[in-house]
Amino acid sequence: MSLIKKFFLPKLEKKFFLRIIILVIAAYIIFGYIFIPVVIDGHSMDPTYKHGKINFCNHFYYSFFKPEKNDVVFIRLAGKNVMYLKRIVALSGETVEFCNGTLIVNGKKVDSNNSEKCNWTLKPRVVKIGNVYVIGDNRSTTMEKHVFGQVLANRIMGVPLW
Amino acid sequence: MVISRIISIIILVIIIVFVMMNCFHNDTWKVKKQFETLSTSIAKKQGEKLLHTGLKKNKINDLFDSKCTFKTQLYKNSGPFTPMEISNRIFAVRNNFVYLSVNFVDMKIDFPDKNTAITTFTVKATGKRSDGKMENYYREADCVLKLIKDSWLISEIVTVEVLKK
Repeated sequence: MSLIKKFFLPKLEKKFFLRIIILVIAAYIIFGYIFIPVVIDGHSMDPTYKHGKINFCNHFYYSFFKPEKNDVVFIRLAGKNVMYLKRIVALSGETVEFCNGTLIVNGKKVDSNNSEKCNWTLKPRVVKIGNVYVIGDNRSTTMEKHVFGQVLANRIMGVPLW
Repeated sequence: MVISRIISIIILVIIIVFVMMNCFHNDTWKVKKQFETLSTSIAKKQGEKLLHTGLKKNKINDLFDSKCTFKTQLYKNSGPFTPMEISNRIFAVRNNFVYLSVNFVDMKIDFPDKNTAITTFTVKATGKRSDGKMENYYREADCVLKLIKDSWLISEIVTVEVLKK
């Protein structure tokens, strides 16, 4: 009983305030810079990441690894408040195209196990140096409505935590 | 005794920050205020009164330079426009919505000279169309504001194509 009382009605002493300050600073650093909380808004990554779900952007992932094909990444716009969630399908120097819904990278068909079927057709294009080519998994919409394409690799903010 | 001192210091700091923010309006604050006005003027609540709409239109007219240049991927939306043309276009879009909210987030402001401000931000627009469809729109944009007669007026807007097909 005394433990519960102590937890909910702590004594307002020096240690208590110190703990509060440390907690606030730690939360600010962790959730502001390391694991940025995100709410998935939209159906671009269905069925892998569904609309309305909560996740975290692991901001330090690419401090240790390089972006690779098939990675799901967060891409920033002007800042970290609004980000795109997409899958990397090609790296710089590679050629990307869609032929009747089939994704072709460097002339080879890519098995899109995670993505929805589509009927997109896109002429071949080379990914510029320093860029990556990203697409959402949900390709059931028309190509014009789906936001995808090549983006500067330095816009990648991180990967989803799960 | 120590606790009461800490609490009074915190309260004092909060009061000082509040006074500083409200009494000393620097240029960054003024530029942000322009976008805040633009955001509230474009926003639409369900069942908005006609008088309100007229007032909002006037507010939008006051935010733009006499010739504001738009540079977008769509050719028909690019070019120089007068404040009246801009507000007419905004309200033509707005009329298709039952309710609409527009926010400018992640704003960065630079002042290359004392009469020019360059801002980069993300436009976040969400609303319900008249046909019941929900609409979400996110776009990065760069914007140039000029200091004309003591007010920061929007003179150029360029939308950034983050993902290029």
